[in-house]
Amino acid sequence: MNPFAAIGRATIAFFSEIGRFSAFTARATAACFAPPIFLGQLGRQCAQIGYFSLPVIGLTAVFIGAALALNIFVGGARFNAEQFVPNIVVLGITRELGPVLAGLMLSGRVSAGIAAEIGTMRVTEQIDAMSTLSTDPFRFLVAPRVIAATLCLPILVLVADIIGVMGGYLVATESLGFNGATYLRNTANFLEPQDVILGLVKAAVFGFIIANMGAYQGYNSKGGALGVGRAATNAVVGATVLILAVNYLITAFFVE
Amino acid sequence: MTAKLQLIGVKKRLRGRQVLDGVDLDVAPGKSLVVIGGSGVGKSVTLKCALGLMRPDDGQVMCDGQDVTRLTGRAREPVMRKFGMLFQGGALFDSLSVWENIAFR
Repeated sequence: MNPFAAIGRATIAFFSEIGRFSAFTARATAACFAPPIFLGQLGRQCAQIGYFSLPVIGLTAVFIGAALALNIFVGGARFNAEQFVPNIVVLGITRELGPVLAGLMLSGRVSAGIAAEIGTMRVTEQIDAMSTLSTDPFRFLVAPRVIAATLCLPILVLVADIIGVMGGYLVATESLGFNGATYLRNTANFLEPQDVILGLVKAAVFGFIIANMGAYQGYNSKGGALGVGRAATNAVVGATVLILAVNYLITAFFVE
Repeated sequence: MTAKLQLIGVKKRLRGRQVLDGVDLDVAPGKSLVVIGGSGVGKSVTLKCALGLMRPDDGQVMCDGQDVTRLTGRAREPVMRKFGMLFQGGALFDSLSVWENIAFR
């Protein structure tokens, strides 16, 4: 076997995949702005992606906030900076951990779900049937999911920010001896609007990535149950990697 | 008389295999046509090319004398209203209720 041919094939396959994904993303984005918007589908997806994700987001946020407070207290004690626990907790949660962890949790819950749902429709010819009935699958299936995830994730992250800060507050006041009123005052005084805005911008972008990746993998799935399973796995892996890469880019853009 | 549906020299290659190699067929108005063949000979691909679910590599698909081979999006909608398709597995929208399936458009 010629190793150069194998490398060439892999490289072409890689760039073909990027090309296909870019074309799908462009078509999905165009479908989000082109009427008709299927409001029933949009409402259903908002409930599915937003409302039903609240428990998992809340639980993640409260434990991360609590663990963050403990770690910052231990680290800060090494140079007598324990009093910075509220400041670093709120900064870490709003700018980084809130959106990234919400994105990662939802890439598992939502992206895989969308890939499995649309993938099943693909292998059972439901998407072909939709096309023969003159309904654009991008408008009916993809656009409502992408719009719902892009709108709902910032709201979920806002909730996660509040719950995460309260997780840190609980640990700080109950275990680390902080005064509750002082903790909250320090948090409020330290927090700046751009910290929250950065987190919400990230959340909206992550929401788009999660739904778009799930839809892409599902839409292009083939080969029955095995193919649907593979699509769900690829959706989670793809969304996770993209979220982490884009997170760095957005952070670098805002910092500069 | 203009054929209701006409395929002219339709070719389609999938995964390196020539599935359709210059298919010609005419379906006159009011007439039925049965396509029979073994598994993998291209019956479904022929139908998908006729419906626009697949684009032929070569050849033309005509509906009521109009070339619909390369029509997409909104331009294709009036053509698709002339078609009905019963899929092999039913292809019912299992996320929708019975009445939503019936009323779907």
